Amino acid sequence: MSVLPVTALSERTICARFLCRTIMEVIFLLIAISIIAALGFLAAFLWAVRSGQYDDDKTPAMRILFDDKQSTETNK
Amino acid sequence: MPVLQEKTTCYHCSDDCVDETIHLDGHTFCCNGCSTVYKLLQEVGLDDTYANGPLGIKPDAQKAQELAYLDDLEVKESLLDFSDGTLARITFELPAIHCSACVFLLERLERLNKGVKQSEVNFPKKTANILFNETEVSLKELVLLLHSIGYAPNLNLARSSETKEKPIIDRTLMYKIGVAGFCFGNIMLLSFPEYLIGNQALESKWSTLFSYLNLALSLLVLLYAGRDYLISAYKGLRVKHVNMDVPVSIGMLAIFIRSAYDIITASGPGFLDSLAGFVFFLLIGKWYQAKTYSGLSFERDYRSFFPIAVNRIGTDGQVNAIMIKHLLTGDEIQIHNDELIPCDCELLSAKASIDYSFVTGEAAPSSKTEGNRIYAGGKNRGSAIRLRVLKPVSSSYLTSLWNSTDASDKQDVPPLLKFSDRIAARFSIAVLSVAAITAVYWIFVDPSNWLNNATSVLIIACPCALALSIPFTYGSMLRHFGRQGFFVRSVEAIAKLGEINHVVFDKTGTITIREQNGVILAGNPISPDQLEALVNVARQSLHPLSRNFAAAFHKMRQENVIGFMENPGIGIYGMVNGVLVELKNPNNLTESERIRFDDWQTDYRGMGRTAVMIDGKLWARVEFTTSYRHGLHQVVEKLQEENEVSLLSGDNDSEGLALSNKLIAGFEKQNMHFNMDPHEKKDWIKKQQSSEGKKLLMMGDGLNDAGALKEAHFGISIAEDNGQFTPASDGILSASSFQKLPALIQLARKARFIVIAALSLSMMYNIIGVSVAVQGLLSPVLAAILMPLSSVTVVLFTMVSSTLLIKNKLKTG
Repeated sequence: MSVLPVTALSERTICARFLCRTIMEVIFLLIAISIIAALGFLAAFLWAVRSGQYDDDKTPAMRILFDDKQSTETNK
Repeated sequence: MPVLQEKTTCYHCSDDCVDETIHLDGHTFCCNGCSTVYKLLQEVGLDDTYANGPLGIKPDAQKAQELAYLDDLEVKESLLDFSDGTLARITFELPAIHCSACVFLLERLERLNKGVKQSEVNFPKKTANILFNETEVSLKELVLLLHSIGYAPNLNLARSSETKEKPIIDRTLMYKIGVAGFCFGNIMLLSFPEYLIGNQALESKWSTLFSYLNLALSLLVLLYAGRDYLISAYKGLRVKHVNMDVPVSIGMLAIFIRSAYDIITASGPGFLDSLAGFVFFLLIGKWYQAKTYSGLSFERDYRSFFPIAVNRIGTDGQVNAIMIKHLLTGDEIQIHNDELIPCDCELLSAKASIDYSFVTGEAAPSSKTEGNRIYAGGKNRGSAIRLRVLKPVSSSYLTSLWNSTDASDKQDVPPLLKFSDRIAARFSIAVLSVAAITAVYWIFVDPSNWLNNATSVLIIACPCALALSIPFTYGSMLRHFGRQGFFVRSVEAIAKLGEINHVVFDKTGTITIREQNGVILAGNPISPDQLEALVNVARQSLHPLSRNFAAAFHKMRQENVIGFMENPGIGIYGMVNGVLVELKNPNNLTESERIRFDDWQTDYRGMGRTAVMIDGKLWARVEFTTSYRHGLHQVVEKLQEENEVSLLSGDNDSEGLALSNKLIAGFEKQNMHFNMDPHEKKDWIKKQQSSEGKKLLMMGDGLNDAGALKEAHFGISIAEDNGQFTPASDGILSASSFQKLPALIQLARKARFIVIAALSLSMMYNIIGVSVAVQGLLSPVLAAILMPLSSVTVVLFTMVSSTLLIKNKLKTG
């Protein structure tokens, strides 16, 4: 990098580079946090598969559509 | 003509109400059974089930009587999943499950019987897992309950074997896909800033941290998610065999090592997102290829066909139910009508009529007399008989043939898969050579980057598309076939199907439809009243010919029969509405009657000729024809265009003439073989394949074909409905899809062209990638774009081509 005389222009450049670096640091921070959140999701996925929720994926789809007469009557 | 009744359909089972119509609550029912179930459901408030449509199932009350063996402690233990004296758990196979109304009803069993605590249905497997209190409801009562609502459970020997392996569901592939996907997404995320900034050096404490995080995540990918590929490649190389996993492992290790070097020496960001994406796509390919049909079994042996227990007559005359595995030579057993004979026996009763069609293929039941030997697997068609056990169940004459775990397993690998392994070998060698040449070239020309350029070649030469062509092409085929009613066991099996050049059919039950015989009448015309009388008299008899006759007219109105008599060997007679009718064995006719009887001409010669007597005088003749599957002659004709077609039957050759007729089947005379017992069928196929080098497709339906199905290159079991037993095979064809057979075979053949096209497509990507890499122009961004792009293109191409191919084929036929 060549040596620049300190002028108003270079002050703006230094400001711009500083801003750029700050923004990049913010992005880095956000990425780090999102990875931690993603780890949580991975744990949830592994737990869901392990507890057998994905072994049968057709029957639960049928169950949600059922209308239980007795339970709706008691809810009235 | 029978009186035309207004057409009403049963509210419960949706059959037409022909025999009788019961009116209840403003609905119509076809019989007592259906109206009873309706009342039952209404009492417990479950009539909501009908909101999902009629159940379509007729409850079967007759079988309930034979369930006494379920009280036996040993039987219970072998069937229950778990029991602690009070609570017990059992998993029932309920083949009658077919819709959401079934699920609704079965999961609310506790409302029908308080002893049931919990009930969970697995729809794809057609099973129900029930938790019940043994002190409140016994296993027998539970099974009776299921029978009464129309969901008879499959209780056969296989379900009660003591080596009942609790199926350990293998979820590791799912875990690996989850982990690989997680790593893929996050490595991409972490590499994002690098791509954004480009080549500018970014001095940030974060960038080194992210690089090392990437390294950690990719270690996870390499050592966990991608582990199987590395292990398989290593195993292959140890036996000097290069398989498809070798170039995959080379790629994976090259990427990892080069990236690790770049990151540790801080000279670059590495190519780790390519690694993770690569492994992720490969694992998805593995998952896609592993599609199974959980409700079907391709492994069934005779144990799925045999009952659990049978009635034994003790020395004191007491009849007890015992498990058939406990039967000893010399035991006396009692077999009722329609029950299966579980082991080789000697007949003690005077006469018996045994149906062997399932085990030897003989269509007509054979008559046996006292002292005759009866083989295991036959069904008793007649009143109850007594037998003496000659051999225990597992050593019956035919058992060795039926055992699907027999060690005559074909170890041949389909040529297409061998072909892909050969490509893998050549590919690896080619890539390694190009990398070596690149290295040498750059050392001389510009040694600053020679190692980088050489490893770039190893990285970009993507075998992933090569590895994905086969799973996705055949995986798509597998799924499409399933939608067409043809369920193939695995991707390797489809590859085998494409190689066959000789098709063999069994006769009874495969090209003929069981228990659906046509009736031919000859002689004097029979009036509607007389026919009604004949059918109702026939209904009273258990004789196979009577049953055939009654079945052909099953919609006939039910009338009272007065004075019914059955004289075995002579005939049956009875009076209906004042008409005395008799169905008589023609051997008992007088000479003059016999002459008239034989004289009546018909176009078609059937079997089981019986004389019809009205008021004591010979009136007409009844005989039965075989029903062949719809479209049989077209199927044979189309198959004969590209293959040799043969028939192997355990029955006699009485239908040989009919079968050679092009309007019925069109088999060539020299290709039809009759009177073949199950061992002979298997040996015939073996000879055709070994000495003549042909690849055979065998289609069969019963245990009589079990040996032949295993021996053939590709075995198909044909099934009338999902609950039916099918012997072990490579594929199960729904009877309703029989006419699609020629098209399906052609599709399997064409599939290999799709694979070759996909392989060529991926070659193109490789050439582009490698030419960029040798010039030293490969950047991580470029690699990250090119590799997923090639994978996705190949996957889309194979899936779209196979869909188009199938749609096109089935439209034109």
